[in-house]
Amino acid sequence: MAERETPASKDAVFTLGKAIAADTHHPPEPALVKMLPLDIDAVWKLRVDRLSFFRSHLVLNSIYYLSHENILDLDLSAEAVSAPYENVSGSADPNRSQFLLVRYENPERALQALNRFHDAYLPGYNKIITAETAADSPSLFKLEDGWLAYKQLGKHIAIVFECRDPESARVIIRENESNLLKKGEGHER
Amino acid sequence: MSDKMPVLTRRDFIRGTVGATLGASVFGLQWPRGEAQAAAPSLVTVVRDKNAIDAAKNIDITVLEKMLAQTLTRVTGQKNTKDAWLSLVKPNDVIGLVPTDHLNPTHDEVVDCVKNSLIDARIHANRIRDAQGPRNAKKCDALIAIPGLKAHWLTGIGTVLKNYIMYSGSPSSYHKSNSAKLGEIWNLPFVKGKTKLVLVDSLYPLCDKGPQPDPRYQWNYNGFIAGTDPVAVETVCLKIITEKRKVIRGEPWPLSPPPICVEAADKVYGLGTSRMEQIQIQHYGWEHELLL
Repeated sequence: MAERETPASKDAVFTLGKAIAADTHHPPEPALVKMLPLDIDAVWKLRVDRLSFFRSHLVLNSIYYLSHENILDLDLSAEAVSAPYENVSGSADPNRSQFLLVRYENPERALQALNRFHDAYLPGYNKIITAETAADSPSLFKLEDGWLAYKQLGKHIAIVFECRDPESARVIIRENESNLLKKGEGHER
Repeated sequence: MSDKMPVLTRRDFIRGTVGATLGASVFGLQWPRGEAQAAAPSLVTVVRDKNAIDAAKNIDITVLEKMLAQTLTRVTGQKNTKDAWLSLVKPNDVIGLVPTDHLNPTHDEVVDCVKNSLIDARIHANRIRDAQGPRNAKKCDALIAIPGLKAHWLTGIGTVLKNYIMYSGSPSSYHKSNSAKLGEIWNLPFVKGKTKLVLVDSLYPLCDKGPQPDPRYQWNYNGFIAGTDPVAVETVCLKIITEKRKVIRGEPWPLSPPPICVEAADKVYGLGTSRMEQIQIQHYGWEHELLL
């Protein structure tokens, strides 16, 4: 734990750590963490061990690199969770898709962020951000590493990366949207 | 030349178009320059000894000296350490040693070992100096880069190419997407052509994060990685870090930010090769978890 560990340095680090830990009050788990369905259609399983909560694109990048720039407009007013969904049906290739859910202050911020994301990540692709109700389909894009889908869900945006086919992308977005609605989140304005 | 950086995204890395994106917009029309280079393979040696450093991070100087001697003779093809040094530097050169002084710094024992080895080769002690720092390279005829092997939270990898960042006089100008330009520092007039050997202290590397070293991502590699092509050495270092990350996670765990400086150092600045097929790796000693 020190550049050159000695019994004294080890003691000092542990003493400091215990002092800091003793004064730490554990906040409750962020509600957004509980929004992601753990299983989808018995095909997709959420990798809970890879579930991360964050508010900064720097943290996002250490989980799943998107860009050096803050292309999702993350800041302290936003909350985000991300984790892979793993295909457990045994035959899929690739067998993992990265899911990202961000909650902004209001739908306008969410739309602005999704526009920025599209412009930076999907240049040259037509922008179709019309999803305002559960009946609307997500926007789908065939990329180098699989299918990407995104959808604005009120003040949330949901994005899934690296899906093996458009149906997988649709299902993951749909089930997450459904979960949000069940929990009273989603399309409120 | 435009100073405006393009927005690099994950897709640029998947498509392998980082170079093209950066080359077209930041580096003007210089991008194809390195493509024309197709020289002999660059030699990179990896010398390891399981007794070099123990679990409590105590270094065995005698083992270190043997590892350095083996590195020098293998890199240069000379029969002994003295001839090896004299094939790299001139006896009257002012020789600057350039260790890393922060975030997993170069071990003092390694720097001392290099210095003593130079003195044993009849280089006068007063011609050997610490050349880390903004202007210190200007007074040197030859530089020996001695970075510590590490990932870096601002540049992806922070080992060879980043080791000269203080020579720029503006280190923060070379972070994040601007880290692609780290290679230009090696082409500054008072730096260009002076680096005679790159010797990476990989005794106890760091494969993730910072700004403080996280012991979860440090391990005993017990090695020296060396060569005269800085980009080839960096490429081998990157391979080791990448493989170690995969071992830790049990699945690919890409560096963040991506280490864009390595490919750019090859293709934009012509400092060496970043293509593994053009690198000849010679490994000696301890085989455990070689990661190559």
